[in-house]
Amino acid sequence: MEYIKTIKNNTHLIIFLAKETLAKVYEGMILGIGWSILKPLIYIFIFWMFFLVGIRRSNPIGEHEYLLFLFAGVMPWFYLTDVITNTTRIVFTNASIIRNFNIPLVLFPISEVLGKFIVHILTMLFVGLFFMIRGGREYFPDIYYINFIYYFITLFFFSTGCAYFISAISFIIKDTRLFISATMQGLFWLTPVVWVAQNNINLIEQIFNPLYYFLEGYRETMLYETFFFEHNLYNIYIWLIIIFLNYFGIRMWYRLEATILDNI
Amino acid sequence: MLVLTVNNLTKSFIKYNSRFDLVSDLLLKTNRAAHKPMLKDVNFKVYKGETFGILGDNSSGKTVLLKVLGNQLLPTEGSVDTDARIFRHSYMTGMQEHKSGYDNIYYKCGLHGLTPLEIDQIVGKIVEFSELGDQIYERYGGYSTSMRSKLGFAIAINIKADIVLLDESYAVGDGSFRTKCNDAFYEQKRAGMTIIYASYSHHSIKNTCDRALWLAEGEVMCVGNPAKIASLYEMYLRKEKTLAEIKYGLEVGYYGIH
Repeated sequence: MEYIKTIKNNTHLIIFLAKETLAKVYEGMILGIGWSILKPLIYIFIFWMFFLVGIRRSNPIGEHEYLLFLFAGVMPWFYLTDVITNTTRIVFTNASIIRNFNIPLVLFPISEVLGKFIVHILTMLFVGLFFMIRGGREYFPDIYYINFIYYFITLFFFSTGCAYFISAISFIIKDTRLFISATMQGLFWLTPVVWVAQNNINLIEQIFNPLYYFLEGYRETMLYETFFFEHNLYNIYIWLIIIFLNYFGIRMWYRLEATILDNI
Repeated sequence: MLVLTVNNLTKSFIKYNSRFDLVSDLLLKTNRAAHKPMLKDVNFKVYKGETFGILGDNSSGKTVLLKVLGNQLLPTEGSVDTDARIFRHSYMTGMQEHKSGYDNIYYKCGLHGLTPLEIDQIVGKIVEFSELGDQIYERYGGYSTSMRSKLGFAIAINIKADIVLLDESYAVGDGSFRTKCNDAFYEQKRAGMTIIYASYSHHSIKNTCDRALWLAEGEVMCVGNPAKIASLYEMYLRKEKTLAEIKYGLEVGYYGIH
């Protein structure tokens, strides 16, 4: 496929653009990349105030402390919202570069995702550390952490799929941007980020909410001690979605290439 | 030796009057786009080591042609055949205001697709050529126009290319810097670089180019000796003859360019 060839031939450009994505966010700040850790910490503090001090929802989930349950699931959520809401504007934020430099258009979404993904992995390292400090010996990395290799790969391709698909759609229909940002805010409460999905709800989430897969996956790894291959049907379902998003997203980008270049 | 061939190149901008047309084109493969023609059936060849001029007044399609050659726009029909490494330089773009001039060198070269190693090799030369001295470490946002163009030019001249595409006003900065720029280009030309230079000024085309092309309303009027083309163009500018008359004269071989 033409796409894979383009990616292969331009790896250094992708790395360059990914670095710029990182730099754009943290440039000129005193703490720089430290914000990738500090930002979730601030959120966590707010959640902690709200749930444990405010509405006093402190009973443990199974045998796990509520704060750890929250922490494990909320990180992939933050990452995915960031990717989904920010890539809607990708054509417009890069307009002057697209106009003046000879960079294949399909590189933009993937490098933006890559930049954010690196921050996500850094953040997850920090989360692991937090688990060890807060949870003690029980939460030290164990054999189940090999799940992360699988989930990182899956998450990466899921987010590139989202980026291609959503950014193409939002180029065609500009309203998508507002729709997405409103939906993502609502989805926060509909996805079991701060609550536990049981029985029927669990099934509904599995079918209609692909984001749930990653939340559950991270919790499986860090809390529930389940391997990712223990629910293969669900895995296959998610990979079908990933293939769908990537395939049609990238195809749309190629179909739109001339239109984007002429109208930017 | 041939480095670039343009075959029956036609370019029209795709415009959609409504979003529904775009959606229907994508999903149902209809053809509802409104086309705005920019270039019509352009043919020419460029040889290695020459300076090839593209002469034309405003909105004749010069910039569009350069962009298609530089692969920043896709041709609607026809093709540009080349294996050369082509750069289209625009000096003021691709810079970030909040970064220092030095960091901007890395940024712009990176956007041009150079690897950090390649940039390391030329960054010293760029700093030296730009004559900015220690100011190179200052914020780019604080640069004056001439400083900006000097830096932009220093980058352009130091990136190794087979073909460079220049859009007017490349002669920038003060007199001595301008001479330095010209000298640098001639030196690279001797080393085998090809320059394609677009301008609305027939004087500069006449003075700098080995061969030239006259582009009018998106069509090629003629290709050939720059001095002869410049004199035809001057006739047109003075309104002594209309485009149609000149075209007819060219067709019957009256001006002896073909």
